[in-house]
Amino acid sequence: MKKALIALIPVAIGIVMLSSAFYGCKDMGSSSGANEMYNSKSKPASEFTNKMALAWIDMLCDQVRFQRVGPPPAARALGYLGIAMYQSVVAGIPDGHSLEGQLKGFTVPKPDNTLEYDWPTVLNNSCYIVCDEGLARYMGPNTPNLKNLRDKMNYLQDSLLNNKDVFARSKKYGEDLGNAVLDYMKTDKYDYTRENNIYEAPSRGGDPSHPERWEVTDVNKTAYEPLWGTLHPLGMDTTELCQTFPSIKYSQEPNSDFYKFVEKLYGIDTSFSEYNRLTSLYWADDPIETFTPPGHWTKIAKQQIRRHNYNLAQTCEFYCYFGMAEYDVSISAWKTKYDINRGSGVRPITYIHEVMNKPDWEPYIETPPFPEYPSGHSVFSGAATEILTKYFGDNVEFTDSTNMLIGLNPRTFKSFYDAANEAGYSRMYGGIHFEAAILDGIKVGRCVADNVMKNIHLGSSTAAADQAKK
Amino acid sequence: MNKVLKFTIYFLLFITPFASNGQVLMKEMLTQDQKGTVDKSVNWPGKKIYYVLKYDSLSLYKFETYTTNRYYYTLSIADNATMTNAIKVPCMVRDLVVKTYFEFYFDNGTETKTFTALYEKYEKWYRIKFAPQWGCRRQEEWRRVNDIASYEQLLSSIVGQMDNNLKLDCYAGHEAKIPNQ
Repeated sequence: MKKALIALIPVAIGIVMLSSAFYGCKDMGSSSGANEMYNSKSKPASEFTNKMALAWIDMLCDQVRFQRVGPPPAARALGYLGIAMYQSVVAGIPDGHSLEGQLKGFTVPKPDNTLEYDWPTVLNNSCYIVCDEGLARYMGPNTPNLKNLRDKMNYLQDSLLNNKDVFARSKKYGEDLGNAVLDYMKTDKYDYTRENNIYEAPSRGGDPSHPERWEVTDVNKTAYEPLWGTLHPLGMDTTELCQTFPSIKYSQEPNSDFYKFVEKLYGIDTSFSEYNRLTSLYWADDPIETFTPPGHWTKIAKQQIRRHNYNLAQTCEFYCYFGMAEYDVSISAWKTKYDINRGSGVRPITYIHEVMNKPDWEPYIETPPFPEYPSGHSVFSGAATEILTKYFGDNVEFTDSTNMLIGLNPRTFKSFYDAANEAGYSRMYGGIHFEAAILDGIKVGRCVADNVMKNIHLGSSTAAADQAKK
Repeated sequence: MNKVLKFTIYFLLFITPFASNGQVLMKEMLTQDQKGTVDKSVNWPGKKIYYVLKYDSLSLYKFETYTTNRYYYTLSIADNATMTNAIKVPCMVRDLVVKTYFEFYFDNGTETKTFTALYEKYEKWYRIKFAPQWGCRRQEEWRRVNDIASYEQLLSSIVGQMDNNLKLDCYAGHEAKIPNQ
């Protein structure tokens, strides 16, 4: 009996090893390092420049600006563009991991491993479809700019390749992939939020009254994206994972911590320094005038990608994480904004008018039409800096010239976190956010980005992706 | 053919006022001098205010494929039409897609502070944000003004609010330099 049991031990160990390998694969696609999709007939994605990827990133930012896209929808478009970019080149990365199996319900066509493909052509055609549909709510499909870019790039690749078969096959594969991403996009409930976005803010009056609740501060505006928090995140486990709630309770008592928060904001406003003024203007990132906060950080990231001379594989991997983190953090923040509005969410202007009895006070920046906590700028900045720091390191000094776009001088920062902090505090200087919403917002952003990088495994074309796998 | 031509001309004449109705601030106005008056000055009781916004220059700001202009001016404010002893205030304008920022740099001899007037082109309102030097404050009633119908009305209203809320003599003889910011 004892002998029989001893004989069974190797069998049991074998079963355990096999099952752990099976579940490991299920979690991470092909986690063993070898990419099952890898196509050895084609030139690896790391041997291409990132020109095609950056052309689509720029195009998306341009469209966000021209089409008056707000920050959350801009983040969504960026999220799906990142997925399309990475999935277009993953078969050209030896140890890349397909997103199929990692993103729930995402199924993709596979390239034929016996045939050659041109990854930039695949990317060009998939990104066109995703950009067109991802932004179609704002500008209608077949927008000329997008089509022109696709056609121009197809013409260039076709000429460069000088192989009609490879070009046609790559184009077709890119289109199939783009359509697969579109199918996946339909599962995040975005359509539902378009059709059912009637929002009734919880009453602030009545008995007992709820002065802590948010209300629209401009009579001409309605609540912005009240159902955004119901969308399905891409890389995060659950929307609630990184949610925070204000640690300081609303109070009208002059000795309360909440009142002190407001006094701090009001004090800055009344003595408004040039630093306060310029900082709030610089990071305002208004829709229409600018690329919005997710777009602004996309441009900051682009500068680093250029500085480090990233190839196509590295660029796609970076923007895949970056886009997913920006989209997921928008969902997380907007969920908190409207959830917390049952308990807090009041904007500084409302409090200063009602409680501090300053009915004429106006903030430097326009108050946007959604609840205060957490600060949207802070969550976008926190998520972006977490990814940027993982890829390019801490204490990276850089000068950002993105807002020369609106006639503002470039600004230099000691690190990405330094910039994120300034972006967050700019909202307090601008008079539209309390400090807690900023500090907590940055934390939420970092938490979401960290979670995305832990959950999604892309490859090891960069040290950051290697680190994320551990 | 003549009928078609006539119809086209009449149609164009008919729609022109409506087409231009949307715009208070035309691009070409930004490179021209502007002037006007404001009745019943607070700083010079019983007098009118005369102002001139003199266009000086512009500079180009470029990012990737985009270019934005910064327009530079000098605002002169006086209690007489000949602009004798006028108070001079440098000004910089950033004309964006939906917003135009007017920044006036007020120097009291010890400190320069920026007065911002933000005009919303489509909704046609403007508002002011300014924290003046303590000794230069008269009152703090910066109003949001709606239904701006012309550039002249916009400028006169801005100068009117300066007159209401500031002790203008605080800034006499201290013309600020436009900060490079």
